[in-house]
Amino acid sequence: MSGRVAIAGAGCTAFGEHFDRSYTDLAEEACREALGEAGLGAKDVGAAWLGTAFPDVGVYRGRSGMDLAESLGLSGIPITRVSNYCATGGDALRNAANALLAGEVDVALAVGVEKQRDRAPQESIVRLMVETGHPSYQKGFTAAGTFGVFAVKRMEATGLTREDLAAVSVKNHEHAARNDKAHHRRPVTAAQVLASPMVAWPLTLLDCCPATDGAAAVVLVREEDARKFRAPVLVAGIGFSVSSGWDGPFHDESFDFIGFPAVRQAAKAAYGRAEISDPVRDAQLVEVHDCFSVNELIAYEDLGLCGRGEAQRLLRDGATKFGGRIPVNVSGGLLSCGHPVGATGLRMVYEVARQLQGAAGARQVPGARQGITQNIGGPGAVAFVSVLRKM
Amino acid sequence: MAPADEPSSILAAAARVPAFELTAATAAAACGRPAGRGARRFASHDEDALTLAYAAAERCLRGTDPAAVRALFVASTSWPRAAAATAERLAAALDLPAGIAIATFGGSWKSGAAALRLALEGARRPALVVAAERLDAPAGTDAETSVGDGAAAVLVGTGKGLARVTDWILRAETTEWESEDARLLSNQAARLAAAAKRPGVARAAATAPGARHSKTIAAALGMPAADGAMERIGFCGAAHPLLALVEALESSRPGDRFLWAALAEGAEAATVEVDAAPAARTFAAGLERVRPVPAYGLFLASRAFMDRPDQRAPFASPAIEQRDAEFVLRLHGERCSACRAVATLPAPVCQKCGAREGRVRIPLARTGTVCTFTHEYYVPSPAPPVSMAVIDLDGGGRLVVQVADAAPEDVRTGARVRLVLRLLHRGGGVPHYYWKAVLE
Repeated sequence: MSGRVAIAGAGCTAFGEHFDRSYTDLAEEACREALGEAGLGAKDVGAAWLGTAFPDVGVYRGRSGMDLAESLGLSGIPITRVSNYCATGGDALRNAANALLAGEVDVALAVGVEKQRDRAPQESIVRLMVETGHPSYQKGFTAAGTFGVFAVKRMEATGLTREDLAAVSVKNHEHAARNDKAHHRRPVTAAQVLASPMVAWPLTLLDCCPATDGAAAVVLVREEDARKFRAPVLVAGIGFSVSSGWDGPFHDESFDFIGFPAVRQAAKAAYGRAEISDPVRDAQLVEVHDCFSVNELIAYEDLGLCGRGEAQRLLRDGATKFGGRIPVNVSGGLLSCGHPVGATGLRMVYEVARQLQGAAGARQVPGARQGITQNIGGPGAVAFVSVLRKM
Repeated sequence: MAPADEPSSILAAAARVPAFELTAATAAAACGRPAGRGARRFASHDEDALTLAYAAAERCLRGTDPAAVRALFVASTSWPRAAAATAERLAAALDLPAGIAIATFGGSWKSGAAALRLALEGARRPALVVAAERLDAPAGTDAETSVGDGAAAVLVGTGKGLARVTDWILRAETTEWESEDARLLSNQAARLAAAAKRPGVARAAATAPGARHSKTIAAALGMPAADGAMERIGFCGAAHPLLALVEALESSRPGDRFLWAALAEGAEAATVEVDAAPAARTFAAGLERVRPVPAYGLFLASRAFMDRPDQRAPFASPAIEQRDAEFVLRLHGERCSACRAVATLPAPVCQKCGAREGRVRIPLARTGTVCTFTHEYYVPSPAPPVSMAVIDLDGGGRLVVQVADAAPEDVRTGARVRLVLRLLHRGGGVPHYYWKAVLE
C-alpha cells in the first residue's frame, strides 16, 4: 500500500472520573469534537474502528462496533472493535488508515474509549488479571509489578535510582498543570512520590498512572484530500509490532528486562516510513507511554532519544522537560492524564496534532513541526509508534 | 508379599518441620488463660498437608531417580478434602512414573505407621511412604498448641540403605493402646518394654497421641528419648511416628539399634538397625530453623487466610488444569530440537524459532537463579508484600513465580532458589497448587 493519510479532525474528552457520564457519552463527545473540526457529520463517516481494551471493566461496553453505532446514531457502515492492550487506540488508527489507502472509504473514524471508573479500581484490570488469567501462571503479578521487574533490573544494570523514577512523575505532573484535560493537575514533589504507598517495588502510587475514564477520536482522510480541511496533520509514519505472546518476556531467557523489542521494531518501521533518522533532531516533542514512571525512561532508549542505559542522564539533564531539547509528555503523560486504555493512544495523537497546529495553549511547544507518539501494550509485547507532521 | 520377618531397608528418609512457632505462652496470654507449656510448629498460609507431603518427599527423593519409585503411600488425617487434591497430584508433582500404585491412608492417627509397615513388609520394589498433617484444634484451647504441622517421607526397598527393620515386636492387635492418659500410657509402655527386650536396643523413638508422650514412653521403657525434640513441634498426628523415625535415624550412628514404636489405636513397633546416616539432617535443620510468631493473632490470620472471603476470586478451570497438568504439576517443559530453546509453558510452536516439529518434553530443573523481581504490595497475603521473581532455571527455561517464606530484603537478583509446591489459591473453593521459589 502506498500513500499516506492525514488527520482532518481530532477530539478528546477531559480525562478523569466521569461518574455522571456513560461510555457512549464519552465516545460521542470525542467524535463530535473530531468531526466538528473536520466540518463533517456522522453520516460522512465511511467506516469506523472502535478501540476498547477491557470491556469487562466497563460493564460490557466496547465489546463490538455496535457501541459506537449507538454513540453516534450510525447505521449501515462497517464498525470494527479493536483490542490490543494499551496499543489499542494506535491499532484503531492503523486500521482506519489502511482502509483509506485500500480505497474502501474516503473518511475513516478511529475512536478509543475506556470506562474504568464505573467499577471500583480494585475491580478493574488488577482483578481481571487474577480472575481470568491462567489459573497458575503469573498469579500474584499486577500491572505495576510487570514493570517493577524492569525497574529493578535497570537499577542494577544502568544506575537508575528511585529518585530518577520520582523525577519522571514530578516532571509529568508539572506538565499536566497546563493541561485542562488531565486527570491529575496538581504538582507533586519528589518527596511525595517517594513517600507515597509502595505498590510494586520500586514503584510507588505516584509512579503509577491512575484509573481513568476518557475517550479520544480522529477523523482520517487520504493525504491528497487533506488540503480541503482547515488544519490537517500528516500521519507521516506508523509502526506497529507484536513481538511475542503474553508470556514472552517472562519466559524467554534472552529477554533482558532493559527494553522492549516491540517498541524498537515499531519505531524502526515508523521512522523508516516518515524518513527520519534522528528523532531528537527531527521531532520537537514526544508523547510516550508512561503507564509507570520506569516506562518513560525505557521509551527514551527504545525510541532512540538516547543510547542504551542513558535514559536517566537525558532526564537529569532536563532535556525531556517542557522547554528542553526534546520535551516528552508535555500533556502530563499517562501519569497525570490517566490511562483509559483504549483511548490513550489516540489521546497522544490528539495532543501532538494540537501541538503541530499551534493550538496547544499554555503548553504549546514553540516551532513544533513534527512529533512522535508511542504505546506499549500487555507486558510490553505490543507496540505502536507514530510520526505526525505539520502540513 | 515378602515374608513378614524378612528385613526391608529404609533407603532414604526426610522430614519437613515448618519454621513458624506458636508457643503455648503466647496463645494463653492472648486468651486470658494461665500459660501452658511447650510450643507447636505451623506451616505457612500457603501450605497444606499435600504441600507439606511434597516438601518431605522431594527432600527424601533428592539424589534418587523418581522413575525408580514403584508405589506411593500417603497417610494423613488432615488431607485437603477436595477432588483437586489427590495423592495422584502429589505423585505428578514429584514426577513419579505414571501407572505406579498409589494409595491414601487416613481416618486414624495410626495410618502413617500402618502405611510404613505395609511398605516395609511388601517392599520388593521401592515404595515411597509420606505422612503429612496440618492440624488444628479449637481456637483458645490448650490443644491448639499441642498439635502441630509437619511431614515425613520414607523411601522403602531392598538392598543397602540407611537402616533395616529387623523384627516387628508388636502388631496392631488390640485397641487398648488408645489413650491420652499418661498413667495408662506408662502401663502400656511397660507392656511394650516387656516385649521389646532386644539386645543392643539402647533408645526409643516412640510416639503416642500427644507430643509429650514420647518422653513418658521412653521413661517407661527405661530408654533415653530424643531431647524433647518431638515436644517442640507439637503432635503431628499420622506423621508423628514417621517424624520420630527420621529424628532417630538422624541422631544415630551406624551400628546403633533403636526401638521404633507408634502407639495409637493399636501399636506398631519394630527394631531398627542403623547402617548409615541420612545424607542430610532434615529434621534437625527444620527444628533449628524457627520463627516464633510474636502475636497469637498472626497465627489465626495465617490459618484462616486461604478460606477468608476475599474480594478477589481467582479463576479456576478443571479443564485447563487437566490440559496443562504436565507443565503445571509435573513441571515439564519442551526443548526445541531446532534451536535448543527451552519452553516452560505449553505452546503449539517454539516461541523462539517457530518450529512445530521436533520438540522434546523434558523435566525442568527445580533450582535456578533470580533474574529480576518485584514486591507486590496489593496482592492478598497475610503478610504483604508478596515477592514475585523471574527465575532462570538451571539447565534452561524461565518462569515467573511467587517467592515464599522470604523477607523482601533477602530477595536479590542472582539469588539461588528452589521451586517448591505451594497452594496458590482456592479459587472456586478448589485448592490450586503451583510452584513458588524459596531461597536456598
